[in-house]
Amino acid sequence: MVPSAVRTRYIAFDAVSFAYREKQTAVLTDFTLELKRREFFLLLGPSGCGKTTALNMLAGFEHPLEGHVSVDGQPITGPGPDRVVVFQGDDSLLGWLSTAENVEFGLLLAGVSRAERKQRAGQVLETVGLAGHGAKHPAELSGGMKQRVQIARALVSNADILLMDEPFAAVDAQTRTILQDELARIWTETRRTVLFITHDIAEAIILGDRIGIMRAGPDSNIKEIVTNDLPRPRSRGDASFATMYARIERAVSEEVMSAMRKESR
Amino acid sequence: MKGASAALPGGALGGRSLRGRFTDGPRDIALALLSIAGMLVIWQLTSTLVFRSILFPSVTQTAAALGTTARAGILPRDISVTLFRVLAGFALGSLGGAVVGLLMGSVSIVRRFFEPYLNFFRFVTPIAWIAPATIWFGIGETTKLFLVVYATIFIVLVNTMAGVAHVHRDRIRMAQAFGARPWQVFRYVTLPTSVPFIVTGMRIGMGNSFMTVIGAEMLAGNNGLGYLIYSSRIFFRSDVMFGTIVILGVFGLTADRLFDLAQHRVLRRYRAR
Repeated sequence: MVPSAVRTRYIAFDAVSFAYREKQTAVLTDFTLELKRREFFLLLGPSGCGKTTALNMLAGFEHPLEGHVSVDGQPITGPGPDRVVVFQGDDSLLGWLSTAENVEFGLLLAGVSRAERKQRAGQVLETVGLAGHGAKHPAELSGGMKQRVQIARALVSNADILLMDEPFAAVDAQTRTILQDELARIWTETRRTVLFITHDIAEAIILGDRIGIMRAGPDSNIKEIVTNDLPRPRSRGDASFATMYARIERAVSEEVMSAMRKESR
Repeated sequence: MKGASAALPGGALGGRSLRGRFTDGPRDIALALLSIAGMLVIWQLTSTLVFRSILFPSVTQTAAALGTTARAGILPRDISVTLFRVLAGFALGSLGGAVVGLLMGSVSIVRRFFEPYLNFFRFVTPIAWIAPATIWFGIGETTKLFLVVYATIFIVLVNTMAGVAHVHRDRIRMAQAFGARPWQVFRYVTLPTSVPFIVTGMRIGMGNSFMTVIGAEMLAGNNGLGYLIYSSRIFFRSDVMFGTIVILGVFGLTADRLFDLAQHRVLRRYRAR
């Protein structure tokens, strides 16, 4: 019998502080957060509060100054194929490879056979709604389709943890809504552990099991965690959605105002 | 003569503005032919009606001189000699520039160590090295090869380094997140991202090579197209000079067009960054 305390601590940030060397002020101070296995966790906060920094530490791209980040009790020492990343822009797509080849990239590095790569990529492209686009090159795809490719590339790898850094921030509003609903559906089907960063409250409510609201930086950390138990699939028109939106917005806007005051000083 | 600075692929030197100018459509081809024909007519008329002088040969005189030197076997030999020098030096210089550029771009200690040399030599024109090269290597092939390699290597090197620097951080991080080792990041991300930059550098290097080899053949040679132009002055053969210059222009243009075609065909995928 596994104690429940251990099971809730799948991903853990323990009193993490972080500062970029060139700047003296700390981005994060005493940042503590625990993620459960297979939960969809939303990190919400004003820009510049250190959301991406937190994600980068979990990805292994950045290292904490103090405290530590761990997965299943194992401290993170660098990037690894158990934690794949969906980036905000499309710069991570490889322009000389086809869509299918981009999706297969992680499998190629993992030494998966060509036939299996093809088969798995075809399957996952269908899941993200890109069936029939596998032969196209990224330059031939729209912004929304490129983000679907990134999601497919992350899903196909069987990594337990998906790190998503504002993946829909750069696509137009209509496409963003569609992508949010589809990601919610895909997640319900695949159930990975997700850390998703956004400053879009509606996006957070549509996607997240729990929503962590961050303080304005510097010295940022988690201000409040809101549990979102609205039944899935969620609808933006529901009264319960509106209630939750108002509650989260109050908490976020305090931090946004605080960030603006700090900037104007 | 050259500005050994990095040019972005797709920019004025590597991209659309130079591509397909004569092959866009029948209308463009017709316009280009009209332009060439018009220029030849004006040349012919000014040389026969306005400046009638042995120092300014007409189109027909120039063509006749080309015919004579060609029949005598002088022209084909000099063309092949010059082309060989350009291609051999260009190939060596491109290879060296790409390899050293990738190394300097990827390893910061190597970059810091060699950057002063790079920034010194790339501003010294190849022509300046004709004298020392002649003292070291004589007036044979080694001197020309040295000079053409010199004319190519720095521009390819600088562009390759720019390509490596251009690799987006997310691209490297993506590969690392999928478990790529450093050599895999280089093989699958850095190298392919740099290819269009390397090719752009090679294209400029090709132009530099053509210019340099002529100077070298004039000042330190006894064959080649540069030597042909220079030796013609002794006999006042301005028609031969003009003819050779026309050939140089045609070769340069052809080389650039072939390069453009190859760049377009082979690297179309790489353009979409």
